[in-house]
Amino acid sequence: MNEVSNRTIMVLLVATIVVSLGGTFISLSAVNNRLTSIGLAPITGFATVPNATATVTIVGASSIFFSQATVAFGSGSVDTAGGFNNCTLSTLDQNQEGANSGCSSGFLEVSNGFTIENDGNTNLSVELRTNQTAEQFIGIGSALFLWNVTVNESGSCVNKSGTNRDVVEPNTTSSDTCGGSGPNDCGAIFEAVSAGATSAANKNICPSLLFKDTSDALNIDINISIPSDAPTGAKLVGLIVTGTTET
Amino acid sequence: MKKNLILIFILLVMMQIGVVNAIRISPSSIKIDFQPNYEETFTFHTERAENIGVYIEGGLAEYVTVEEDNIAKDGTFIIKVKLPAEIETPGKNRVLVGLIEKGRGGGTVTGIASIRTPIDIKVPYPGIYAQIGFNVHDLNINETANFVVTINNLGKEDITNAKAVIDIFDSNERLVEKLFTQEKKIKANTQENLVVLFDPSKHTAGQYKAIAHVTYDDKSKDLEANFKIGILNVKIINYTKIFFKDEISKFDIEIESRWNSKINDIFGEVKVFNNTKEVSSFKTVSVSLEPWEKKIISTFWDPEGLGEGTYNVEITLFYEGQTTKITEKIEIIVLKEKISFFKKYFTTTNLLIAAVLLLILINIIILVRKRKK
Repeated sequence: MNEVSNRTIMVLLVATIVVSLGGTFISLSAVNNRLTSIGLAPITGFATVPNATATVTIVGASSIFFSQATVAFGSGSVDTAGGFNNCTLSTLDQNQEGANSGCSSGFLEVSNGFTIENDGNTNLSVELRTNQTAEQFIGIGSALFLWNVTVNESGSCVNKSGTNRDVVEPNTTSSDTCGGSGPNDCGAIFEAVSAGATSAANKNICPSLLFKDTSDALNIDINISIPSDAPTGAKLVGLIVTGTTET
Repeated sequence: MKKNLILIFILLVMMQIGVVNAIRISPSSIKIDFQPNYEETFTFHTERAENIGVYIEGGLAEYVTVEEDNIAKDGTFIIKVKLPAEIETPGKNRVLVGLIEKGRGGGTVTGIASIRTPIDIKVPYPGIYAQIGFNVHDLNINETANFVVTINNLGKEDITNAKAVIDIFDSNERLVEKLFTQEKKIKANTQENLVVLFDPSKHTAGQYKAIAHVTYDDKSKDLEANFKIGILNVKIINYTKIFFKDEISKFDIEIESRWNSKINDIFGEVKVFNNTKEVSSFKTVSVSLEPWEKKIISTFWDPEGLGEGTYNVEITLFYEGQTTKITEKIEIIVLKEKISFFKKYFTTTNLLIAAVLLLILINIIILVRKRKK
């Protein structure tokens, strides 16, 4: 084995430091641009109807942020040799043993699901949908695709403004007390996803996600059940989170 | 070794590159009061990015269009609102301007973020139409407060005379006072407050109900609200009554504030009497109470040397230069011997029953095996 010279090591070290500093500079510039776009850019309003005297009120900036944006289970199969008919992949390890149930060792154990944050300066009503049903995603009608929404930081989700601002647990607070805009606001523990191509399929999962730094994040865990007779091939699906300014 | 180092270097480089998955939109909210044929453009701001798409949705989406999309260039896009001569549905009509990430991939399940700005177009109701609110607050007996009736004229016509009469009822449903607001004119699409001052010094502390009878032109509406008049007093609601001989026990005192402000440094003193002779005394820690809050303050008591029986107890709370005192009774009893789980369930009778059942089971198994042979 050839020994690496001290010179090579020094070059690699310097290169790493340069990339670190460069990345920091790029990030800071991006932050500055964002602040500029939110706070300093002019808003034009050119009324083309001369007699119009409508009042217009314009407020703030909204932002939603995936701090954890992908979940990859890798490649695997149903462990039929072990006597299983279904493989269940979950980002929430309910049995505390860290193993996917009924699955071959090829699938990766994923212990963290999605995390979304409200990093703007307004509270957001948060809705969720997937772009495919369980059957479209896995390719067979007996497949299951579930989500479980919880708060990442205590008190992040409250009921809708105008009511008493009670804390809401997205997966356990009943719809009656959830205080959202419709009867389906707030969900259940590991409920079936709401799927569709448009926002008509959106399910409200949090009537009001606060923008306070210490209480502004939700967790979305998923659970996929794959029957042994599901067709093979790459399985990909999108989880669409929509934040709307609370007014 | 060189290859390993190059691999490590590549991994380190990849770790330095931050991946930002935020999607932003500004402004976050637009409110428009409807005018026939109204037109206006709005410039929106977001991140400069190739993979962000704009969409419009809602019942009035046909009147809102994307005039320019420069998101890839400088993170801006221009929306044009061009309203018709008339909108049939009165009240709040909402159009949503949204941004969504496009072309994201990289996992079995990929998170796609979308953010929306509501454009709320307020369309007046025909004729006279008002949205009315009534606000009252808890207050202390030595304070005054404004009771406010808010009238939002959402109609097309002005309201010429709006006023309110507020009836105050005590907890026994007795009318104790009437308050009269001024009369006001409220133009279309504006909001006014009818305000009247309430002085609780003529009343006693407790729970009250206020009913506002609001009249505006030929219409009327009644609204109800509850409030409390507070007094500087902390009530003792409950306390521990049973104690065990020769055992140190927790002494809880449940207290409740009747004051509409915070009270600090509340502590209790407990004296135990055998007939009239004081046999023990002790104090609790200090606590504070938020307005109208209930709390339990705890301490521990050792009834050393005291026998079984009933004793008089005097509990005194100290706070803000005031006191609350009650005189009640407590009881000291002998603690019964704890029966272990083993002794409770593994009695002779239970063991015999188990043995019989086991023998029956063994016989059944032997019988079944014999029949099979």
